Amino acid sequence: MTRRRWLVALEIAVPVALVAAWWMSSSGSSSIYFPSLHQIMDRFWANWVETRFASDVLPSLKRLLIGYIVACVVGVGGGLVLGLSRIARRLTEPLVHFFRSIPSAALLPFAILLFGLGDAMKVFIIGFVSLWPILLNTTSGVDDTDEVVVQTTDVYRIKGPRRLFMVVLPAASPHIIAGMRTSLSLAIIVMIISEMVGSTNGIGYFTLQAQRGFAVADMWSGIVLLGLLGYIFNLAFTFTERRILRWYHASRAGAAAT
Amino acid sequence: MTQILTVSALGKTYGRDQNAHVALADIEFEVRRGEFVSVVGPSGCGKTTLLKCISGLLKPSSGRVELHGQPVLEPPTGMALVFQDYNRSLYPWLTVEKNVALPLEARGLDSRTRRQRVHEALDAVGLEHTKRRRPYQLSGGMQQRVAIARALAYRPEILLMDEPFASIDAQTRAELEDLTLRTRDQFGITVLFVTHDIDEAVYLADRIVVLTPPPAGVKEIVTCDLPRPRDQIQTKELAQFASLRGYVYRAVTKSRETPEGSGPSEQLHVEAGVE
Repeated sequence: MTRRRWLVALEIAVPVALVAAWWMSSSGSSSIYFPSLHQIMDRFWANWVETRFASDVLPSLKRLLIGYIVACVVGVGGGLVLGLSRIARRLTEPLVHFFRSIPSAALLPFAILLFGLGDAMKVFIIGFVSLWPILLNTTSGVDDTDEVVVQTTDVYRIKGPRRLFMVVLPAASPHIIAGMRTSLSLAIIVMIISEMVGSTNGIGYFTLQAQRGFAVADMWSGIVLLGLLGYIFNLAFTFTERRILRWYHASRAGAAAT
Repeated sequence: MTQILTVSALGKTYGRDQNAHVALADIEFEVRRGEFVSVVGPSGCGKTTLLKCISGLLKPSSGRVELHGQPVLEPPTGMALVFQDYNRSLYPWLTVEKNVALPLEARGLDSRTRRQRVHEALDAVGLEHTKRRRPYQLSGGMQQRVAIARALAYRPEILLMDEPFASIDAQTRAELEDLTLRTRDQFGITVLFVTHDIDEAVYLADRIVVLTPPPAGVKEIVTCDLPRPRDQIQTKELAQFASLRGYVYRAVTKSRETPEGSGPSEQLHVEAGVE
């Protein structure tokens, strides 16, 4: 336990030390590329807390969440169908692998053409890119369901929605959640890119605009916010995953012990 | 006694033409109401395939299985199956209680009946106090008891058990054997018990179906009229137990030639090495 405490202490101390080092080494900086951390934090507060939260942060988060949630729903739903039906899987396999191989940036011109520069374009592209890892992982998770689990469920005649929600989905959930985690990082990246390419607000838009206007400290404040957001999302995801998959980690730990 | 399960001319072939592998050939036996029937055979002789065909999980290539005269084409409501791999057969994402209750929900029983049956079944296997725990928090023997409770709560007319105690330590195994006999009396169910352990088969059964090496057929059906209730020590001390055990052992290991004219009481020469 003491070793564990040491590790936790280090885990907190190292980032704090790095930030402190950054703070001290950059104070009084005259470089236009690397303004002092003090300046950056000033701009961070002024931009994200005082003025731009509603106008830039919220729109970004809204696009991100809508696109991501739609991708989760469609990905899990589609993955279930593909996982349960070998025919559907065979028919769609080349298509699915083609679509998921398209780099997100390559789709931007098409998305702009289709939806213009509004929110719909961003939600579409965030959702499109997030969809594939979830779809593929759900498919393989459902397809790989342990045969004894399947046989048990058959013997006890557990069918329909009960089978889906009480057996098939939970059994595939470790795969599904791994896919969702991959998609979440993709969704954040695509959100930023889509805002940089065509937007009138959003964190990505602001960060690029600041750079173009040589407001370097503002640009840095955008980068810091994006880093923080990514970190917080990941933390929230890990926390939720641990709760949902507690049985999975515990039963694997048990299996490894015996 | 009336027949509850009839297996007639059951065959299963995997693949076709030159690659065809005949797993089961012409299996024929029946199980009567209230009976405890064991199935033994040399390892790899297709015992699990047989049980899968009987339970409707696998479609036989020929012949038929009937439960109460109704052909079994998919798992019937009157059948429950306890698997060897308890840790794969129980759902780790559900509590013990929920594991036992889920088949009852699927059957459309109301919540009061469900609760009562779950309670009764868990009580019968002595695990009522673990109902809020998850399978992985229990030992292997306890997990298999949960799987038995799930089968009991389902109130099957016939309970199929596929080498249920093969991966359980000897001490716990004896306890589970007795638990199976006890709950079977308590719930009045018929049991078809597949095992590769001849002692276990003799100890538990009223009759033993001995299979031949693959392609598996029925070599012999041995009546096992040891007195009941059975007891791990006293029953196994009986001379009758020893001779039955020896008889079945020879029947299993002496490949396909039938021990002609020999009865359980006869002294037979034991061949070292199989086949």
